[in-house]
Amino acid sequence: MARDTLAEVPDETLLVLYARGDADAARLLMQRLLPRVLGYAARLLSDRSEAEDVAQEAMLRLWRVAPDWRSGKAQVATWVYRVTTNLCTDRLRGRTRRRSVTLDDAPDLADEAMGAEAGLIATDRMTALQAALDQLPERQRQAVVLRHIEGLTNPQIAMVMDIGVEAVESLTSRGKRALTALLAGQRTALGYQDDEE
Amino acid sequence: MTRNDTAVSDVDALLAGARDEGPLPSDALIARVMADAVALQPRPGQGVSWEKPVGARWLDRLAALFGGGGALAGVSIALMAGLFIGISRPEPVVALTQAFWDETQSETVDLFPADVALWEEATDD
Repeated sequence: MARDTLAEVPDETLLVLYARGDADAARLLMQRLLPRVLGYAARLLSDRSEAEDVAQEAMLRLWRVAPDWRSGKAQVATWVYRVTTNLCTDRLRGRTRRRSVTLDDAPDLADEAMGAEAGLIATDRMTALQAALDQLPERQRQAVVLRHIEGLTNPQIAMVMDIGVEAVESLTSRGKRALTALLAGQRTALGYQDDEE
Repeated sequence: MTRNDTAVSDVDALLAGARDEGPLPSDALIARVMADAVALQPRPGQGVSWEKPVGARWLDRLAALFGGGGALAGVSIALMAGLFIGISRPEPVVALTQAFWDETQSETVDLFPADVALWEEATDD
């Protein structure tokens, strides 16, 4: 099938087309899902190389399941996020001695932020955010990333994490409060103006 | 706006920014993923089951030689029947073959006569 025709096709249909031997369907599905899976894994693992390995493995499992995919059972993207979550969990538990990134590892923003270029500030903010995410409990981190960065709905997150919607709401709420507390002391350093003062 | 509201708003802004700042897949990763996709993609006409038990493959090939599973089953039954008859030699079959051979007449014909004189006579002419 021509690629321009495939552009509007749902993920599930692309997966079926892939299973029937359509090479364009595989490339399009990869273009849609790989950046999301890689970004999600990178947020959970804080390691680009490991995130790439996880993303490749998650996609490999998708290719494998394609011939046996049952329509309507799950959304393709949700399924891939779930596989990625499990792979990341395995990796995190497998790390015998992990040097966790903390807020102390973020660059010394106080000296730089005021006079730095906007691009550098943005990079610093992302580094600080990642450091804060790394300090969250694993499940809270998963829920916050899926909800606020990947943009999934609570029912979708419930499927990914294999928990109820209420549990998702609780995890995202607690996770975001913890993030706020962790980053509260860095507002000025991160280039935000303190409106209270 | 309270201090807490401002902090929450900042976190919201950070998270929204992170949405656009995700890592892009490298060319090497894209190549690896596509190589996996090509390697695992079922071929057209292969059907949806891409992993067959190893034992089923040689049987499939044999059946294809005979034109399908049904034909192979027919040939197999004929072969087994032939073996059975040959080994057990049922009485009616033995009687039939004996009757056939007893009634058969054999006659020897010399295609090349051994009479040397005949050859010599021919050369004298």
